[in-house]
Amino acid sequence: MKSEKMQTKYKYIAAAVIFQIFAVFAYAQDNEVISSVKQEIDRSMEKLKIDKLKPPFYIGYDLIDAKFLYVTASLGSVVNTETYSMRRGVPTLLVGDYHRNNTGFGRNAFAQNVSLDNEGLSTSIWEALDRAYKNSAEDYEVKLATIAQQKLDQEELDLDDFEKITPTSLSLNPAKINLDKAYWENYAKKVSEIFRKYPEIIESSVNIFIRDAMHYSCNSENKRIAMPVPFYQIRLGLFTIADDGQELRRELYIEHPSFEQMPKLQTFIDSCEAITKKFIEHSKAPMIKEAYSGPVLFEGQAVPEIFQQMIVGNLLAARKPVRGNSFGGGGGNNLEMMTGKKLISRSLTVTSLSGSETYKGKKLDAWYPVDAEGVIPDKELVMIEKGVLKNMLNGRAPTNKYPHSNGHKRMSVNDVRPNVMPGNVLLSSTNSFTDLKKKLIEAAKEEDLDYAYIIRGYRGIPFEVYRVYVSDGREEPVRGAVMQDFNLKSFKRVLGTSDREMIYNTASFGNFVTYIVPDGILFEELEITKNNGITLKTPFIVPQPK
Amino acid sequence: MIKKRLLLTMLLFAVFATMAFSRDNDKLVDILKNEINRNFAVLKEQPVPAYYIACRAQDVRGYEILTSFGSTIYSIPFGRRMYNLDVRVGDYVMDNTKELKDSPNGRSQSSRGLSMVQDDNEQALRSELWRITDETYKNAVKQFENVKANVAVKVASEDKSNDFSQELRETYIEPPLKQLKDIGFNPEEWSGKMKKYSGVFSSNKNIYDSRAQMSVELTRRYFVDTEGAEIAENKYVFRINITASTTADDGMSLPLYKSYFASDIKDLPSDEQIMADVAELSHMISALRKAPVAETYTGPALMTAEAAGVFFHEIFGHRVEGARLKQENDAQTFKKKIGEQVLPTDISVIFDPALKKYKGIPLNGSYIFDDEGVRGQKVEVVKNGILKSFLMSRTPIDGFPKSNGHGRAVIQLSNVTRQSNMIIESKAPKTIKQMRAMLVDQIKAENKDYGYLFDKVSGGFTTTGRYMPNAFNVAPLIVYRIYADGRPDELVRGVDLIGTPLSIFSQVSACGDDHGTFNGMCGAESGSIPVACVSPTLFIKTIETQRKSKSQNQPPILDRPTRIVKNTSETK
Repeated sequence: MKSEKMQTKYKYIAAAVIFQIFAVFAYAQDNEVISSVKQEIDRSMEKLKIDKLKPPFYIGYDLIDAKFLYVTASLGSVVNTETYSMRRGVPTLLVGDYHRNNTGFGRNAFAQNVSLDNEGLSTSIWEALDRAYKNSAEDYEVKLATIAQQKLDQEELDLDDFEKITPTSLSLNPAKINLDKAYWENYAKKVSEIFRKYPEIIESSVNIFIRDAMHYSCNSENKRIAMPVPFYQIRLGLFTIADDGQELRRELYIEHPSFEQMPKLQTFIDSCEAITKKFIEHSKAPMIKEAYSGPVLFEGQAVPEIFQQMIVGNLLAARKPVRGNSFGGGGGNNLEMMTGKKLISRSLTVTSLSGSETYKGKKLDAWYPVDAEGVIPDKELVMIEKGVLKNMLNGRAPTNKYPHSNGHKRMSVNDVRPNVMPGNVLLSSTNSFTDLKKKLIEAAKEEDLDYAYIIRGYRGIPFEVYRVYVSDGREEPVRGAVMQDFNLKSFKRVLGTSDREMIYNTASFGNFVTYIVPDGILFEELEITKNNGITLKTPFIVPQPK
Repeated sequence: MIKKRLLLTMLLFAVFATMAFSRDNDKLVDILKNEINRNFAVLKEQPVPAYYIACRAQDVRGYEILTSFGSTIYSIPFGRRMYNLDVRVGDYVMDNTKELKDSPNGRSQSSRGLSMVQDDNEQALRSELWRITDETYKNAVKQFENVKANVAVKVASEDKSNDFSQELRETYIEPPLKQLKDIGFNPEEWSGKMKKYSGVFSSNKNIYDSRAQMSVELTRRYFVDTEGAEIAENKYVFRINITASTTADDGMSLPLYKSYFASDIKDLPSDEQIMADVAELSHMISALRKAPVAETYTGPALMTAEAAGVFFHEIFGHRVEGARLKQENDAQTFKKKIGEQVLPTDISVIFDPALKKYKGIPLNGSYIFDDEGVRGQKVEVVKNGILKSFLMSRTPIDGFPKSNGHGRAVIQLSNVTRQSNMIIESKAPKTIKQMRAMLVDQIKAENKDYGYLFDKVSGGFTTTGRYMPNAFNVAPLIVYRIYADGRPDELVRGVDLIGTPLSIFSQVSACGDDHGTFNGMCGAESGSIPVACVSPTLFIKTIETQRKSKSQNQPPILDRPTRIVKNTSETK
């Protein structure tokens, strides 16, 4: 077993070396963007200095070069179409050294629009670096003074502020993106047109967002990255009002990095029809009246949503910041103190697959070969093993338990500044069943309940909820449910998962995040009550236009 | 007689034919009108009846280019149709828009801007209007109950006028809006020009930031209401703004700008003219960087025509906006001064939105109908120094029960009385040489070494409330010291012009025989709207300055990277 692990490790090292060789070769084909950025970084590293203050020891610059297409349509007509090109860039400038610098203290530089022409890029970067240096040099001095006034423990004092690595460089070709305005306008119009025949849907919109973008990232450690970050998104938004006045909204997102993965027009229309019918059915469902405590089964979209919210969102390492007295304490992610301890059910294992391009032969959208800091993510990194916390996702800002980057500082297309975020994440189970609904009913009977709940739609709160009667297994949609005390701890009492897996794509900061999860998960006991935050509206006064 | 009748009939037919043609090509007016009337028929019968519904819409198409140091930052087309509903409940005397006294909500914003489909899809448009009308009506009812309670518990208002005036309703439909391709605008050509203009600054190492921006806006404004107004009016706007700035060694940011406005692309200045202006701007930036910082000062000054335009707009114009004078917390500087002298006896102040050009210069504050469907009228606010009238929207004030077409707003906000084209005229103008002599005489009379010439200003602001001092601040960009002993004029930097309105107007002593036009955007309660001000050079006997606030940042440490600017303009 040990030798197998060693072999795997050597394979990874070999792959990384080959990858680096490839990257170096590709880097020789540096384009003008990279050259302009690098030239200005080099000039600033050499000359940027204010008397009596330290010069920068590290300068990085991230740039998104993008073309966008937005289309919004409603009831068969275009509401808005926008197409434009934009470049936004943000510097990271550190003063001090790897052990102690201004990281995580004081002011972060903001992303700014920069020249679309390569000739003008250096001027934009020059402005940004000048401002960043003056802020960073001052923040660094204040940080040192702040630390000197605090009694920090030795472990914290010994911890580096920024991990020293040899970053990987990589240059990939731009992706082929379909930015055909006429095609997508027609797509949005045709989809939105179907809602003309549903008078129950009071408001509907179809939004299409396409991004043809490259991420360029250079730093003074000689990292040079040029990587495509394509993005296709279709959003359907529906709104209706139930007879009792509850306002109901439903959204559907389809997100992929390539045109080929996006649904064909008729396929998407068929999906929209199905969702709409289900939504209308739900709007006529009765409101929950009594509180419930017992087994709850999550299925479909609800599973990756709760996995993301309750588990993965908590597995991002965060360095406890140095704060002055005026800012109070706190910060960081205290969950890392649970490392080696049981967090969730022993039947569950969570594995990061950010460095894996495929899973069981299927392409994973969130795969990336190297993160924004030049670190190659592991193909497999166990985060929670049989319920016990083993790892957290991190970048180059070391924390007490996780001093090394595992390649999860991913660029954020929206604000350009990279953030620690997941890529592909797998939830696997050793306690899976083919018929979870049967198991749900058995568990409800055990609790002497007349019914249990299945939740098939969840976004912050449940939006597609069914009451399942133990007597005959019949399902009845209900409205107005809200979960009580539903959090990470709830995953300690899992009765089982489905033996079927689903792959679910979502986006965070304009990046893909992919979850591979069982398509059902049964909790032993959760609380569901009526949502008292719902305001019931009076009906429309004027009849709906025909 | 018959011939005249025939001619009249032919003219009427021609007008009707134009309108009919326009309506056939643009169904939006009818769709909006029919839907608000359908809603109104039901809502006016409710326990709290709606008594008025209006719908404003605008269809904007355009293009925007931004360049810096010869490089493109963006070059994008844009277009959007938006609308805004106004539903009033109660009656003309008292409705839901009445100001709430001592309330943070103040006057109700009874409307908001929303997107609508870009074609005349009747089902989509009516469905959207129906949904939002219901929501807006219910909010209006809630607000009206608040108004009634507020009136009951607070002291009576000083102003006894109605909340909403009754006005003549008109039908006015212009031909369909032209498209970008039809107006002679070529994005590539203008992108090249903008790069060329901002590229001039590349050769000046003192300039740390530069922008050349062009925006083209083709707007069709719609207005319909339940009183019968039906309006569709087009506006074409071409703007070029060129800005450059440096930072002095003491950290003071020193921006300068040059802007151009036209309602026809052919009226924009020639390429040669703009290039010469840009070169002058670049030269002036370098001079400003070396200029000494001026100390606080009180004494005589000249204000050039363009600077005087901003000065009048801020200090006088905002104080004759009628609706503002209804607010209990407004200082109401001029409300009780009708018939009194408020300016020197040779000065008259006119607002005229119908005026498209003044002596050949296009005016930015022009329109035919305001955003309440009232025809924009010429208003002589001051005649020979005597205050005669106010700018009025459909919010009356005591003594001024009717609108004169100055209810204006961006599409997202409710209408407020705002300025249009302001014209300052003097019946006893002096030559600029005489004005300068008057300045020198006054400097000597006060035993001072120098006075000031305010040559160019960036804008300013004024407060008109009662809690804060009723003061103004105008931010000059180019200021000269004029010495009494004949020394050359000296460029200085770092002063703001400050004061209070009544005292400064009492000090205006003479007007020049020139005129300058300030075409800009004015920001206030109802958003940023286009305005213009035409003014002569002013001699002011006593002004006051204070030191300008400044950044504490040092100039950039490294030189701006050098680059070769390619001449990408297509024009010769």
